[in-house]
Amino acid sequence: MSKKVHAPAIASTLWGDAWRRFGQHRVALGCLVLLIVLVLSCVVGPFLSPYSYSNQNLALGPTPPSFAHWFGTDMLGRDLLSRLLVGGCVSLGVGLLATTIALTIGVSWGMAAGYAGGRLERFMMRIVDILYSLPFTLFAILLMVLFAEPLQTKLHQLQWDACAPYGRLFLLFLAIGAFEWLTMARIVRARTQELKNLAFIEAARSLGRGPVAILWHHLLPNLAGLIIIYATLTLPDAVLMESFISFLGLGVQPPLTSWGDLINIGANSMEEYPWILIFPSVFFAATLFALNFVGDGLRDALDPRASRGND
Amino acid sequence: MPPLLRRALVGLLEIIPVLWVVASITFFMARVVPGGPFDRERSLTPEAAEANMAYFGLDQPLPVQYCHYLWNLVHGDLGPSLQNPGWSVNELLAQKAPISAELGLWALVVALVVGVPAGVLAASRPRTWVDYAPMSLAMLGICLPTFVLGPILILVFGLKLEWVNVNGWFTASDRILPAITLGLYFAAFLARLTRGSLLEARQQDYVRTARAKGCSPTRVLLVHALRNALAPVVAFLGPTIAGLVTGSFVVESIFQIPGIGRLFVEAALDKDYPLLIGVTVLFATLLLLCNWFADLVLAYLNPKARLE
Repeated sequence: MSKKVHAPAIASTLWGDAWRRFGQHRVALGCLVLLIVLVLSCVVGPFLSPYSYSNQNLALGPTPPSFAHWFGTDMLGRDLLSRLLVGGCVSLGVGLLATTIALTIGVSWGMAAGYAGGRLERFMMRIVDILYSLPFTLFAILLMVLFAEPLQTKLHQLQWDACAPYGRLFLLFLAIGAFEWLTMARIVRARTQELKNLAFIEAARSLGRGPVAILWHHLLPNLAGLIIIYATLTLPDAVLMESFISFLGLGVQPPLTSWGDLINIGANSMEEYPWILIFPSVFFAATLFALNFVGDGLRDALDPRASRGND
Repeated sequence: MPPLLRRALVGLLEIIPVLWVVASITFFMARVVPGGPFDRERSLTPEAAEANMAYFGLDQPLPVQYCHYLWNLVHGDLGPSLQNPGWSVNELLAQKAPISAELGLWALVVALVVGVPAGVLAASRPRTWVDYAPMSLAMLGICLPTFVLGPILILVFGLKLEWVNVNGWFTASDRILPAITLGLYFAAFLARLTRGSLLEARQQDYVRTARAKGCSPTRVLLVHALRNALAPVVAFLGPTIAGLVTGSFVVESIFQIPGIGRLFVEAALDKDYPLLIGVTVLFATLLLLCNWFADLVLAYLNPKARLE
């Protein structure tokens, strides 16, 4: 690696610095590119592919990778690449929505607790502690088992047939989001506590701004870096959780699919047709790997202080 | 009363209301859902279905059912299983628990025996290949979830190389692959944790003192630094046990191990509500007790935390 001297084009803004630091982290940058390619192909790919993810071709059956089917076909003769791309959309989409939910709840909870202080704060964080110690995976599974079918029936009753297959997805990201917000709440609370005693908050308060305005206009922008970091670290967790539930057969239902579901199908026929297991596993592991590295890189870039402590 | 004992008792008392909330939430979750657990069985005549509902007490008003359920729960009775005729949830759990506990124990052994030494090794020569090799493997271990690792291990070692048998839970060699599958993630996590806290401990003054007095580098690392570096590892054992418990769902399903994890997944697919509730309450109790215990150990190790 040759060391070039960069002329500081944008003198040194917070985000400019962060972007420069992120660029120096070669592995993270490579992972970001990989992720972008992956997401784009998952979104655009199904439209370009000559095969549908759900059309069965029982006469064809399982075939190894070939020019016609790059990743081969599955037990029912469906093109594996098309299914992988659609599954990726579902896995990443559910992960993204769940992360958004976790973000919204976690940030508001943590900011409110940290800013309120005193007994209210202790009470709110005690709730987080208690929820932390519960087997949430079990609750997520319970939620799916109990409410997925009634929700689907309800949607059919309301004549919203088009939405019915997505009822399960909705429940899935609700269940995951309800679980993932706890870490975010803890981290945001800790930083809010530090920030709220600084002079600029004092100034805003003495100018007569209300608590909501202070939280929204003064604290939130200062928490942005932290929130971005932990959002990227929550995303792989959420994707993992979705695949975990789908792997057990409790998440998405056929013909819709997700990476966990594909790995499950592959594991059932791996002795004779190993490619049905290997391709989804590689895609999934690579995505998790890339997401984790991008999260680490962002942490180094946006919060150099925290990453030095971790090393 | 000594503060440590006080802390232990208060913690134990706090568990009770939490468990009550867990039990209530799971109960009402299962009851607000429209449609009973026997709806899918078309062969049942209406009379038989009614008799079934009456037998399981599902025809009573909800508050009565709830009181009945809580009363039984306090006495440790989780009720009959719906899908396993003639079995009570207690009997099912008692039969499966030892198997899951054994799996969890082996996985914990893998996590500790692989993870901690790997972290020590990496910290002994930071920023050389002795550091990078185990840490890259650890990163890989963290990114490979059990349901990817398990099938791949089966494919390679069970089906292609035929070193071990992959279905069932009979001989000692049946324990190897499941324990590795379940334990590897935590081994990887512990390795990173141990390395990080050991590197931090090596910069402390007492380490410099020990070295100045002529201790060998190995002794300084293993005796002086490691003892203090292990506190975060102990703190992580609570979450580890929680993770081993939930991870066992997948591992038991993949390797066909007849433990509680597989029982839960089957109960979920069959809508066996009492069994689902029973497993949830059991795991919640287990996790709360684990966290309580980890908290106590930490308080014992760290005088600062003891005073808080």
